[in-house]
Amino acid sequence: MASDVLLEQVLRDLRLRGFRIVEQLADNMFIGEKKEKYLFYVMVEGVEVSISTMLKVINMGETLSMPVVLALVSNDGTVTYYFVRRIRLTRNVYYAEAI
Amino acid sequence: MKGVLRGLAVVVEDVESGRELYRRGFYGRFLGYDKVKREEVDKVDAPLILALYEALYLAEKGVLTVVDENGVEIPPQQLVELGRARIKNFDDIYKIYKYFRDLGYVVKSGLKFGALFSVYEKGPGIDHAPMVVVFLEPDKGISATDITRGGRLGHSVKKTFTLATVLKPAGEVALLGFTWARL
Repeated sequence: MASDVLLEQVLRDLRLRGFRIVEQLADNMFIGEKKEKYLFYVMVEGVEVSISTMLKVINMGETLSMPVVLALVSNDGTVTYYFVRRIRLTRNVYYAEAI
Repeated sequence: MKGVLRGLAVVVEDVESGRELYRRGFYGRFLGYDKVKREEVDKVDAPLILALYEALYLAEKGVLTVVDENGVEIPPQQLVELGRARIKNFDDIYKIYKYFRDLGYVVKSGLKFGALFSVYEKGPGIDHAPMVVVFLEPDKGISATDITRGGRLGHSVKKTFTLATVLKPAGEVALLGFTWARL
């Protein structure tokens, strides 16, 4: 794990941003903390993640009550972050009677 | 109400019918006009063009009768077959269209955003930013590039976008929302 240089880049970048790594849950998943805790999931450029895997990560974030952050790491180690969440829409109040 | 299927879209020639459909939930687009406001509908004197998804939805709801150019009725099932023959992933995309419409959202083309649909709570020209919905093919995974590409759709959407897919085998529509995070 420590030999994965792209993962190392993500951890380093987060530490530079003031995060503390609380717990490593899997090769590419860990909990980081800065004010509040976040569930991080690392995605490497070019490596596809199945929808079911993505949903499992989101579910884990919901279970842990932590925002899920995808750490997108380019093939040469630049990191970009996105929040991901499951959207559950309720009926639109503006057109409650519409067809 | 009646609409004539011409290619992959349906034209409602009767202006009063067109106005009513547009008022009901911004269905269609008036030929030659864009983003007509609700209070301007009565001033528009033009046929309404419905996308195939819209026409199918309204036909299934019994609101619209679609006919061919000879006036022969085209049942919804025949519109589905046309869609399947011409449009990739038609069934899944229609399911997503129906999902939003059944919940009362206004669904318009996403083409100008580089997306599948733009979805509004109140309507085009009223909402400041639509929900930009990108289609994810059910059997395809998600890549980092898919996410950053989505984040670059349109400048007004604040790097927030939605991926929509249909989960197999349940056939359930799932929406994933992505927002750029400044950590």
